[in-house]
Amino acid sequence: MAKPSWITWPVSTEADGNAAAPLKRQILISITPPDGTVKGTHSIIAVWTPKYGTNKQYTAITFKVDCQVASFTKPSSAPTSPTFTLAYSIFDKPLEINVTSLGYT
Amino acid sequence: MTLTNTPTVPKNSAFLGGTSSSFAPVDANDKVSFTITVVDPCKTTTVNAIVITGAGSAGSYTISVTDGNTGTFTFVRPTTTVETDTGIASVCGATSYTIHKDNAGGTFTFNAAWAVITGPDSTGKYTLTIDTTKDLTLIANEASMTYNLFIKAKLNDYTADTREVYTSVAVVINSATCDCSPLAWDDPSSAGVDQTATSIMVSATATEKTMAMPAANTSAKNTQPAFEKCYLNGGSCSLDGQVSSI
Repeated sequence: MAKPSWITWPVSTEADGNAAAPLKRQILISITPPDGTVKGTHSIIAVWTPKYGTNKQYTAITFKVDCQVASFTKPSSAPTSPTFTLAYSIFDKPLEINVTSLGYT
Repeated sequence: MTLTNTPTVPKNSAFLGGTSSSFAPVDANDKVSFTITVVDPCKTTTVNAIVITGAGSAGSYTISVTDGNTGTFTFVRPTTTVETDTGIASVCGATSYTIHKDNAGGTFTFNAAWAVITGPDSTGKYTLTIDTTKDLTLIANEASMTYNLFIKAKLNDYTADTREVYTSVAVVINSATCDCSPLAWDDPSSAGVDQTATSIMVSATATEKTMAMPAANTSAKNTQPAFEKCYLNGGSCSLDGQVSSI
């Protein structure tokens, strides 16, 4: 599977980690997960091309993408019936709350 | 009665008679005693020196092998003077071969069997094999090292008579040229790869992570002299490389 567009490599600001040209060692990747569709565990399979020795395909990094609600707008009084009172609870563990009925931005 | 001739029997020949007298013994006074002494010529024969093919001339055999390589040289069973005189092959029996550090039978006591004799093959040839990979201590950072070996050829049936010969062979081990290509690369440790302990949250802000690199493996130094050569005197092979694709 090809590298998705939300993963950038190489990172343009990274300096060459090699002692000498012409190979250029750049091992930073930039990850910008766009939305919950990429939630899950991902592995980057890379090919290492050394100056000496044979090429090596290996797992360069494994990372996990997750989602969190950063903010939402508390609804004002319901414009129409039914009206309800909104309460917030803080849990010490992740909890999925169905907020489909809430208006948010 | 008097024998008119002293019979002589040539080596390995039958007595065919010659001038002789015949008589008929009449009584005990006519008894004639003979003492026949059979001398085994192999007990005093000379074992000729081994002739090695492709290693210079007799008396100054030199075998040159580059460290990390194997050299092979052949020779055939040395003849004996009895064999030459009679024309009978192997008349003095079988010959065996051993390698020594001197011409007095000193034991060849190096670390490993880097010099061995095998054979004979179907054509009667024996092979002296110099395998420098059997002992990586044969040469360090010297340009070359010379080991003087002696091949002893011994008549197995005449060990008590010391029917043997030593042939000197100078084995020259030449330094290998540094070769970094055996450098190997192993998978990174899982600890260096797994970044799942902390999730990356969906966000418009980029998160930077460092990919692990394969770990250099120089264990070939233990088996490949040309690779080991690169690490002598503080040397090393470059660990440069690049991630060519992800």
